[in-house]
Amino acid sequence: MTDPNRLELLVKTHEQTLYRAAAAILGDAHEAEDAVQDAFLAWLEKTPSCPDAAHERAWLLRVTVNGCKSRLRSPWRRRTAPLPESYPAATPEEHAALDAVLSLPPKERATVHLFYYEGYQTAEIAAILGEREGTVRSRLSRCRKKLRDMLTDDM
Amino acid sequence: MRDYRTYMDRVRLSPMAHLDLMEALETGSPRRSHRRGLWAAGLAACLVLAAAIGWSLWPASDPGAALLPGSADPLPAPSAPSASAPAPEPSSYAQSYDPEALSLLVPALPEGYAFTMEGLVLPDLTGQPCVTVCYAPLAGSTTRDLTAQEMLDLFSASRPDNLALLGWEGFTLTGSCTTLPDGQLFSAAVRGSRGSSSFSLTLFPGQEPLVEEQYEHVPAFDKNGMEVTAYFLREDRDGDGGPEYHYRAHFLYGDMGVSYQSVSPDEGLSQLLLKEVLRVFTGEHGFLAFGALPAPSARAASREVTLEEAASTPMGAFLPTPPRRFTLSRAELTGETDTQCRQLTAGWAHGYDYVEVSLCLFPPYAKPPAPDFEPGDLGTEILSAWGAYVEDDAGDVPGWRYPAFTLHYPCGDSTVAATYTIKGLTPEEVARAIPAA
Repeated sequence: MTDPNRLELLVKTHEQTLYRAAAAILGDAHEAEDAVQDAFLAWLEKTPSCPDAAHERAWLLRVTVNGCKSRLRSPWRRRTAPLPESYPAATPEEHAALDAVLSLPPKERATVHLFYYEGYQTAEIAAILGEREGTVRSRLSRCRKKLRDMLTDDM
Repeated sequence: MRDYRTYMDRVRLSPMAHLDLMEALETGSPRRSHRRGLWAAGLAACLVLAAAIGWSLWPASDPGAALLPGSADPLPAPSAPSASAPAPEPSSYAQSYDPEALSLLVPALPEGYAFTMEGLVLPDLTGQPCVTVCYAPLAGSTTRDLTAQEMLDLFSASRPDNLALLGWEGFTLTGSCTTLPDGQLFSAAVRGSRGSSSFSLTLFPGQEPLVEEQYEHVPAFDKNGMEVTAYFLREDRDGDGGPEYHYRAHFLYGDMGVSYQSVSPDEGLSQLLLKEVLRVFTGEHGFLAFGALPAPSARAASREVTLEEAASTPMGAFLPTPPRRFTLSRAELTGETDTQCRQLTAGWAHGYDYVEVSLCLFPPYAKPPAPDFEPGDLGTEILSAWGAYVEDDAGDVPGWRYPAFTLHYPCGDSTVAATYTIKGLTPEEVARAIPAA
């Protein structure tokens, strides 16, 4: 059983990171909240032994990303609250960037978010996504080209 | 992608979704967003209420003036000192206290001081939905009583009658502080009682206040530049047939969380107790402030040790030997004496897999938790039946999972109960890792 204070600290430390990743992948505010709940409930159930916060974050991100993938596969998935309508107002440039990322397939969104926002290296992303590093590298290269075509800002 | 990053920086899980999350973790099951429409409406109403109350609360307060609630008429008494006024002169018995005593009686207000009359308008959350969260310091934490001097120092008070400015006149104070296993102070609390009225004030250094009863629509107010959440309840919790007024406030004092509650069948008194604490500790008084925190307990209840140190203890013989790919995450001794310790915990990890064991020493008169197996019986067949191999476990990596299990080992005339939590090892590896006797 996880200590309540420890759990509270864990939630406070990682909830925003998980929420942003889930929101980027799912594009839905409410589903992202549910995905974050699922990830922490998995933690509560498994109580993995992680030596530091970085490993905790990687474990939780992996569970969150996999949970998001499952949600995207579900035929019952709700599609009621697209991200731009349920999040803070965006400048035109931010809106364009967000639209571009959200137009990518879910796996590519996850890769782009983990690379450009969370700052993970391709080997770390491969570990989180459970894929080979080469796959992540080639996907990232493909994403860069797509985003470059859609956006005018400097990558 | 700079624009994507700046936008994502502003995307945050809402406080209400956070409460949903904490409730889900408390109950162990998902709490879905079936009430989101209501919550959104509640939030809007809450913001209106907060704005309205924020406007009407503490109107034109006179710095340094003590208050009496329930009326807008001033008391026919001398006004209270201003923020820059010196501390009051001691009365004849103000100094008559034992600094080492574990309780402190707060004397009457110094002569010339009185509380002015002014109402305090807070939302009544009686009967509103509430999530109860139970908190406890980490296992191995220690709690001790505070001396009278430590209680005075906590409030930067030079004499007991200074504390009467908080409305604590005639209250008997007791205090305690809790130290975490790593030697850090977790909390310091002072409680006061006078007849059927009481209050408790808890400080949480370096963290937000821990709120045990979390209501959905608690507005936040700005009080002298500090954000304060406050409300009251009218409930009969002591079962005496009449309601008590529970006035509560939570706020951050620098990086220290403060949680305060006053309880009294007299609404005026309960309100006064809260109002004065808010007034004083949000900076309206010049000579009372949170001061020296009590020293943490000298001897930590537990300490981290190396594997070699752990193995050299009497319970070290019962430590497992996980496969070589595993590395030690942490080993800790709890409740040490010169000859033994009460608990030895250790954990090893490899990737997403781990082995954790808690070895507890039970003397002959104590009853350990029932064992699930005999150590000598723990073979591949039993472990295969106890655990299960999963391909996809809520997004986790494939591998073996085992429910926690307990073994008993004799240790002199005592018993060592070993409780294991294991993930990812094969049954063969588990059987090899755990000592047979």
